[in-house]
Amino acid sequence: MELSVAMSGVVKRFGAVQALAGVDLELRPGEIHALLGENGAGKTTLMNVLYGMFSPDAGAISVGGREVNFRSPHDAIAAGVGMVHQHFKLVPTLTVAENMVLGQRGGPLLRRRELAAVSARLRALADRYGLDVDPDARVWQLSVGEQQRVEILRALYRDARILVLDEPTATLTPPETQRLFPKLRALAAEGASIVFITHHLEDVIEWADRITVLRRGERVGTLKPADSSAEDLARMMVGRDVRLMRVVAGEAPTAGEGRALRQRESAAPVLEVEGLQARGDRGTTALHDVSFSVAPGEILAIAGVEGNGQPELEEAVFGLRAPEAGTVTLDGRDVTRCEPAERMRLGMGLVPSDRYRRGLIRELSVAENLALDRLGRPPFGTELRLDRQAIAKHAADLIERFSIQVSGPEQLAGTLSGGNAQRLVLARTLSRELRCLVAAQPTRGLDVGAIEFVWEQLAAARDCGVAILLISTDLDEVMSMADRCCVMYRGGLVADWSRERLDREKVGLAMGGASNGGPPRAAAAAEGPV
Amino acid sequence: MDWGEIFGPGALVVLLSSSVAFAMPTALAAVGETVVERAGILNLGVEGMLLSGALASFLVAYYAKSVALGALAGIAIGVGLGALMAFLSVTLGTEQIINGIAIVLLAQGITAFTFEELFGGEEQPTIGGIADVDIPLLHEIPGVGPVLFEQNVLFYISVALAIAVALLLTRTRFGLSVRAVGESPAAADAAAVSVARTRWLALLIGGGMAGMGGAVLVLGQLNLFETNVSAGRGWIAVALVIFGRWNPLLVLGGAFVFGFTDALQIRVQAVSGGIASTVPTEIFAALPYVVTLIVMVAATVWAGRDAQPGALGAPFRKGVSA
Repeated sequence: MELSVAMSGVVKRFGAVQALAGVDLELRPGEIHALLGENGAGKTTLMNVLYGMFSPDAGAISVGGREVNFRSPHDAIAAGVGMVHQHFKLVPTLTVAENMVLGQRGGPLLRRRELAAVSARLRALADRYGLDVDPDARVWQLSVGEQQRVEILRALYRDARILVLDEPTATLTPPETQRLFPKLRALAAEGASIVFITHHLEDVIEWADRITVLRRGERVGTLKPADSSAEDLARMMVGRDVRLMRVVAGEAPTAGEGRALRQRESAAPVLEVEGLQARGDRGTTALHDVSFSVAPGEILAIAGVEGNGQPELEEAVFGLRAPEAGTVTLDGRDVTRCEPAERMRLGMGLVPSDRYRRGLIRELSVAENLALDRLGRPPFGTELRLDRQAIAKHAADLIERFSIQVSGPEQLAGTLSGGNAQRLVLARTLSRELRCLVAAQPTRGLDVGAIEFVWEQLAAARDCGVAILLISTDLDEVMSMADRCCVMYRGGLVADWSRERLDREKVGLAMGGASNGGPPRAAAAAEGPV
Repeated sequence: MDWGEIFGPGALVVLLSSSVAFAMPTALAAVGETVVERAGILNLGVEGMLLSGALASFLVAYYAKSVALGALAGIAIGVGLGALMAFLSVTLGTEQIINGIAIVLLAQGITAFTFEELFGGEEQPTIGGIADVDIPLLHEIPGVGPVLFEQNVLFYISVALAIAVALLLTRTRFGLSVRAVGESPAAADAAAVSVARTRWLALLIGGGMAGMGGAVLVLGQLNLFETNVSAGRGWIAVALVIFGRWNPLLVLGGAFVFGFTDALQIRVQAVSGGIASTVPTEIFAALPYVVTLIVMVAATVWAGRDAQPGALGAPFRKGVSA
């Protein structure tokens, strides 16, 4: 059988870093091929090479039996390669149809008729593959799952025969994932080759025909799911045994069992949020009547798919976004109108979802970042004088305790990898007197080792009696960390389960808007105006 | 004072007629700036482009005795400064706000110096005005006719240009690219739209429109040049774009509010000789700017929703944010 893609000995360097060290990959027509590996393993780089975004430093690529040398995605698209990026490349203010026309050649005028024809063709394609999307909707109005379908449709619209999906399940609810793969299977059945990048073993085992595992820019092996277990794959991916993988592989979660449940129930809540309402950046209501409380030594997880108000919740609770209504109470004290600095003084901490924008200052050193929330105050000096020695000593201490990988405390924070940046943020936040911690997407984009570390730190803080609000779109994280779990959907909370009643399937359904299983009050909130 | 002399039936037509004429320089610059900002570039150099266009068109019209050549010269210098802004902001990717202010300061210095060198100490030089052209049939429509269809040629061209550029954004492939590039350049780039090329073209258009605005001010309205003749109209244009919520038609409407107040204050000054002695003329001169800002701020507050292009002011470097 003729291969649809053959990549051999592909090498790609970025400065001193070797992202790909001679990787081979073969794709057959009609197969779904999974590209598995940790962050930084080179999966996305390899696919960007295939898509013409990067040109390889060495190696050969042939598509459909013909040697190719793509200089831009344009060449790749022309050769029938389509790519759905993890962060969608859609213009949110344009309609779906306009996004298809964007960048396509044609006369100077954009006639209504032409857009109507595009819409019609999209509808036909959507019907054929069951990718229901309204071509005339504006992209920002669509859910993440719908936007992904738009991206797939765009590839099909451009006659892609080889479809690359980068982390397609990362932002989907489990039911959406369950709907996505049969559609990909239908595409493959027509002879297309499908590659998807992932680090979720479940997806791979369930849906891939063949799996190629990458580690540190090298191919560890290519195998069939039937010939391997989740443990084997995890070991191939990471290069050692990983404790966390038990959770990912669907076994019983480890965290949180048998701890002082009774004590938690009797203790007064540290954080109470009542009727919180706030607008998003575009002026639409992003939070709608959100109420919850977190007890000392408890992790309340807010599960949910991206785009349902999580950043607004994070910001409103910490005082970075002014709520329109509702109250935030910390240890019985109303802090709704307090600045973040005041909340921090009262013992609130934040691990922000955007760690490079909110968590640290790239242009400052690691040492300065570690003392950032206390700069100009004892023990780090006064308002007029920084005590460099104290800052350096504090930094050396935290770097060791949180094993932050740095060349030295003077390294600029902007040069840290994702995992080390998060270690820095955690080190700074957890080294303060904390009553309550808001942790938003604390492991997003981190590799398995770093995730393990973050989870351990959160669990340790919880065991010290800190009330933790964990806002996460990662269902694995929610399942393994939560003492209680609410699901966020369209700006409201739609369920409230204790750990004993927590069920992966139910959470997954609620994330998609099916509000069965939740208490009646919460279910009603989901139907409120958005 | 007799308000009938301003708002009476005959007088009102004169007032409105000069309103639309006075609005044109600001309208052209503001619509051009709308395209530029929709492409994601914050061009604060509009005032400088307007002023340079004014001087260039005046000089060419004065020496070559041709209004048409003068107008072309105004557009050309505007396009040139647009190219300078594009080179600095798009090609080099440097700070847009600084570039814009530098262009204003540069233009203010060079125009004042050039004018002083050429005409310093002489009597105020003037150029001949251009005759109004009555559009057949249309100008006979009561009320509307005299206001809109008994203007000079430059006015008609300006209106056509402003409307064409406004439609450019919604009805052309280029306009689609402009909107995409200003909202999410990375997505546009992935769709094989050249971000740099689109932004360059937008700046050439915006510069040309501002230069044309300067030409209309000098050739169609004042018939003379003086130091800083643009008097902040370029800044008003930048403000109009923001308060017009990056919608070219709303921006155009804002320009007419400005033109109306400008015409009104001149009329009030002319009619009420008595008041003029007690109220400083500077108060009248400031009126259009104040009223325009109040109206547009009110419109913004009322509209509430954020319409700013997502990538406004942010340089785009290809391949950096992969």
